[in-house]
Formats: sequence, structure tokens, C-alpha cells
Amino acid sequence: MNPTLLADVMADSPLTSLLPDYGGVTHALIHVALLAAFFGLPAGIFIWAERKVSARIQDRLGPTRTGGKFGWLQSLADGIKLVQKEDLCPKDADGLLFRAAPYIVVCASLAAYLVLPFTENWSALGLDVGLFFLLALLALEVLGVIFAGYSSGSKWALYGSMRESAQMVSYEIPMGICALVPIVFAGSLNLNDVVRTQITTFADFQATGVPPFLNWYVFNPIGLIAFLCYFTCATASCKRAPFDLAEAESELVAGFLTEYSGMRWSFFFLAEYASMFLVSGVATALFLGGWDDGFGIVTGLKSLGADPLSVSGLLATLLGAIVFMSKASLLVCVQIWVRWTLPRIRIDQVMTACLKYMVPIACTLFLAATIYPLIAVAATERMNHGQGRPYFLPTTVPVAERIKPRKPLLKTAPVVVPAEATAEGAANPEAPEQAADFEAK
Amino acid sequence: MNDFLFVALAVIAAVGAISVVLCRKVVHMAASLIVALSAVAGLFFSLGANFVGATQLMVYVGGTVILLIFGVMLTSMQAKAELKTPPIEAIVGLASSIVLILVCVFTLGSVEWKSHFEVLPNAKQEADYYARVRQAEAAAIADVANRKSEAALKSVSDAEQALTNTGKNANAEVVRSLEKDVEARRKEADNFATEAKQAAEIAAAKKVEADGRPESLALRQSSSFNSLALSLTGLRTDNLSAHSYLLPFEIISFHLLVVLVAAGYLARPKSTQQEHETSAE
Repeated sequence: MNPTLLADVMADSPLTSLLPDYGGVTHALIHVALLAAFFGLPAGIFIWAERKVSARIQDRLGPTRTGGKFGWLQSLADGIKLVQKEDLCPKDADGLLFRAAPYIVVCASLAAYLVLPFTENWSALGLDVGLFFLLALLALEVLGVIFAGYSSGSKWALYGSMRESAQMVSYEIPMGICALVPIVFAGSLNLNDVVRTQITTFADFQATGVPPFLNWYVFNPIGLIAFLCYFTCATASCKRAPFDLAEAESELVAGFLTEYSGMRWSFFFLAEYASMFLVSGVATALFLGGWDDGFGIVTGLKSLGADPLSVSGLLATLLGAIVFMSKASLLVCVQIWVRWTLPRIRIDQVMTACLKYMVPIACTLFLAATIYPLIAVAATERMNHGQGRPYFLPTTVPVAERIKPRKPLLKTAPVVVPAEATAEGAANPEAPEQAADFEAK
Repeated sequence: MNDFLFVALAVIAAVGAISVVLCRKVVHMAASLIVALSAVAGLFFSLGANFVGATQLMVYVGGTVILLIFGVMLTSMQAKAELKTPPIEAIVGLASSIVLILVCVFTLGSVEWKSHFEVLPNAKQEADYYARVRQAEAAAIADVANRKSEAALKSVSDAEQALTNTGKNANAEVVRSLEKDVEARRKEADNFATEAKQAAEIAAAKKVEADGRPESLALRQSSSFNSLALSLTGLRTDNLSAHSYLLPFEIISFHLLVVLVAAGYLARPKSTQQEHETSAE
């Protein structure tokens, strides 16, 4: 086993230059600690936001007492209430699985946060197969739902979890295919690279007169439909209304959550809101340009200071993270808005929508995404002998030049170049002369 | 750190696999299988094979096991199916698993496990090896640069051809734009030509550096991981004239397919027998 591979994959943030790394563990632990600390925040904030937004949609006020006029601390109060509730486990329930199911869902959701690109090179793991890894982890959440329902020992829970898991598993297919459309445009599964290919600078804006935000994949006609399709499928995959049949009270009491109460119930909701933020974050990274504001401010700040730890570099990083989280939060608010506006659809309508409509649309989009650049490039070359501007292509810069060269995976040992390279062997090898040559490629 | 990670993941995988066999309830078996397969995915990640690890999670844990669970819950007769193994089957199973363990141990012991860095035992061999690697790289880059400059020259000649073809019925604007095109292509070809020259110089320098060195054995040996993968698909790197393990690999895959089909057949609902009994009474 190569001891350097692990460290190379995990060391993908500016933290590595600040802190020493002991056995590859320290940086990993810091990344995981930061993520775990961040993980509960979206849940807390969006639960409050949901209550306020839903209240306004329904022409009432929502929480107004805890923590002042706007009820800021309502989520905290709810959390405290839930923590001090009795820890129930039904007699007929399968003890081990009943207790383990909430943790499976939370762990899958938290692990998927590892590849979210909060800003340039600030993802906990800069995996080259980032999106694939994320989709695989979303498949793990289904298992938590299945075990929750099956092990509850109640028929409402079993039926609810069967329907719920069938819905989640079915909607993963069009979600994955629609998420592949920007991957095809960008040429890499790494979410950092996908965002980088959507970014152009202010200088490009001045040169070509095209504002940078028009390079986001959502403004490409195929990208637009793919974004809408992906967002719909992601909402369904998060068990969010209008696809929340299995949680509806008039249907199956509470579906797979029927027998859960207290902190275990709140873990499921922690995972659900964290998943909402996760899929919104993935949507912003894939379609909405990630950490890029559309006017070149972040890239301008970055170009002022190449060192990520200089003042302008830090400011650019912070601004990028704020932009990313704002876009993801906006999409979560759209999900909340949709929930309280549209009526719930029946389970057969849910499955029909997925298998008869979403999957063909997703497949057509994928086909179009692969054919489109060929047509667009050919059309561009016929326009004015190749001097025309390619309309509706994601960017004009070739992919290989946009993506920053990655570090080589294998660190080579410093090469010892002896003075005489004879077959008998020089007596003592000299000090290493030049190790940089091989690594520079 | 990596050793600790390997030991932890291997223990989890082994415990999960054993508990798949020893559990009473079918859903517990599925849960243990998830644990075992996720631990194997973790092993893949710790080896640096990110794509394989993610595929393992997606296909096995997120596909096969979910399929298994759906199948169990939709075909089991009672609410929670339990399986009890009769003692004679337990003894036969134990005996065959001991035989299998011995076969695995002897096979593992007969392979020469060499890691990449052990193959270059001293610094001089390492230097020779890397000099040759650098030469090969520089030659490849020079080759690419050559091809690019040739393509650029060809495009220049194409553009000049187009210019001479429209020489007669001259629309002044078209002629001007074509000339500009030719100019741009010439400039590009010049750039590529200088790049190719520089790359060729570097390649020549590296070749001179590498030619004086003896050819290190390292070039013909590779890490055990690669040689295992290559031998499964057709090329034995330790003994070039020996057969690869492709045929046994295919036989095992076919066997797996047969086992899955048989499992599906064995798990079918057996209601026809009961109907016959009740109708006979």
C-alpha cells in the first residue's frame, strides 16, 4: 500500500500549508471536524426558515417569541425539547436496526458533504470522482429509510418505508443522468473542476462583452432544462413535498417515522435538511457556477493575490464561500416555497412521473449534451471562417487550459544521482542533486 | 496510519462477512452484508482507487443489497423470516470453509508480492530507472510537439491553397479575410515549430543522459497490484510465456451467475405444493 496516496488525496485545501500533517490524520480530522460542526447549521437554520416562509405563505407569522421578534432560537428550543424526550423503542421492533437506522442516514448525508466545493480548493476531499462518490452515498440513505421502516414492527412504517425507498431509488436514476449533463460539458467528475470551467474573469468580460455569469451552465438551453429536471428529481429524492407521500399524516400516519420520537426522529430531520442543502449545493456547483459571483469580483480578488493566504486571497475565499452558500440557501428556499405551494401527488403519480417522464427526458438531455458541442463547434467554424463567437457554448476556452494541472498522485523519492554510473557501482551515493525535474511534469 | 486503517477495515469486513452467515434474521444478514461491502469500499479508498471504491458503494451497497432487501421483504412468507441451520449442514459447511481457507492461504503464499519501491534496492538503480523514465517522457512530449507543428504546417498550406483558389473572381473583402487567416495560421505554425524544436532539444539531452546508464531491471517489473490485474486480463509479467488467469476468472464469473440464478430459483414462492395438498384432501 502506498503511504503517500492517502495524504495526497486528502490534502486539498489551504489548511495544508498552515498546519503540519501527522500521518495523514491531522488534516483529515480537521476537515471532518469542520464539516461535522457545519453539518447541523443548515438543519437548524432551514427548519426555522421553513416555519417562517410557510407561515408567510399561509398568511400568518410563524415563531415570534423564542429569541426575540423573529423567533431565531426556535430551532434551538426544539432541539432541547427533543433531546430531553423519553427514549422509546417499541416492543415488536428489531432493537439493533431500529436504533441504528437514523445514524445510517446521517452518516451518508455527512459523508457526501466531503466533496462539496465551498470555494476554490476548499473541499474536504478533492476527489476526481467527486460526483460519482456523492451519488453513491445518496444511495446509502435509502438503506437507512428501509431499515427504519422494517425494524419498527408496525405495518404503517413498513408500507411507508417501502413506498419511500422505491421513490428514492427510482428518482436517483434521472437525478444522476441530469447531473451528468454539466459533467459532459466540463469534462471532469471533480466538482471543483466543473465550477472552474464555468468561471470567466472580468478581463474576458471587457474583451468579449459577454458578462461572466452567462457562462454558467444554467444559461445553456440544455443546461437549463437539465437544471430544472435535476432539481425536481433531487427534491423527490430528499423525500420533500410534493413527493412526501410517505410522511403525510393523512396517508400512513407518518410513514417510516411512525415509531420514532425524540432525538432519533430529529436525526432523520437533521439528515433531511442537510440533504436538501447538499443537493442544492451540488446544483449550484454543477449549474449555477458554484463560488463564482457572476461579475468577476471573486476572480478579480484572487488574481490580486496569488497566495491563498494573503489578504486578498482570504477575502476571495471568504466571498466565494458566502456566494456558494447563498446560492445553495436560495435553492433550499425554493424547495420550501414549492412544498407549501403545490399539493401532494399520489404514489402512482410519483412513480409515473419518474419512470415515464423524468427518465426519458434525462436520457434525451444527456444525448443532446453529448451531441451539442459537436454541432455548436461546427456551426461556429462555418460562421465567418471561424472568427465568429460560439453562441450558447459553455465557454470559449478549451477545457484542458481551464482546468488547473493537478498534483501528481505519486510523490517520487528524491533521486540520488551518483558521480559515476558504472556497473560495479560507485562506493557512496552523493547527496540528491535534482529532484524537481521529474515532479514538475 | 495506513496499516491501522487497513487492519480496522479488514476486521470490520471480516466480522460483517461472518455475521452474514451466523445471523438468524434475514434483515440482519443484509445489514451485515452492507457493513462488509462498505468496509471493502473503504479498503479501495485507502489504496487510492477512488473510482473503484465509489463504484463498489454505488453498485453493491446502493444496488445489489437494496435489491436483496426488496426481494427478501417481498417474498418472505412470515413477517420476519428466520433461518435455522441443521447441525449436519453446519459441519459440512465448516469443513468446506476450512478447505477453502487452506487453498487461499497456499495461493497467497505462492505469489511474490513485490512493491514498487522494493524493486529498486539501491539508489543507483533508482537513478538509472528515473533517467530512463524521464527520457521516455521527453521523447513522448517531443513526438506530440512534432505532430502539432506538422498539423499546423498542413493547415497553413490548406489556407494558402484556399487563397490561390479564389484568386480569379476576387471579392476584396473575402481575399483580405483569407489573407488574415493565412497570417494567423502561419504565426501559430511558427509557435508550434519553436515548441517542437525546444522539445526535441530537451529530448536529445535526456537521451544523452540516459544512454550511458545500464538498463535497470526495474523497467520490466511493476508493483504487485498491477501485475495481478494484468494477469487476470491476459498478460503475465513475471513469466511471459505462462498462461494468464483469464480462464479461471471467467469460470468464476460464470459460476457466480449460476449461483445467483439458483438462489433466485430456490427463493421462489412454493405455493403450488400447498394448493395440491389442500385440493387432494
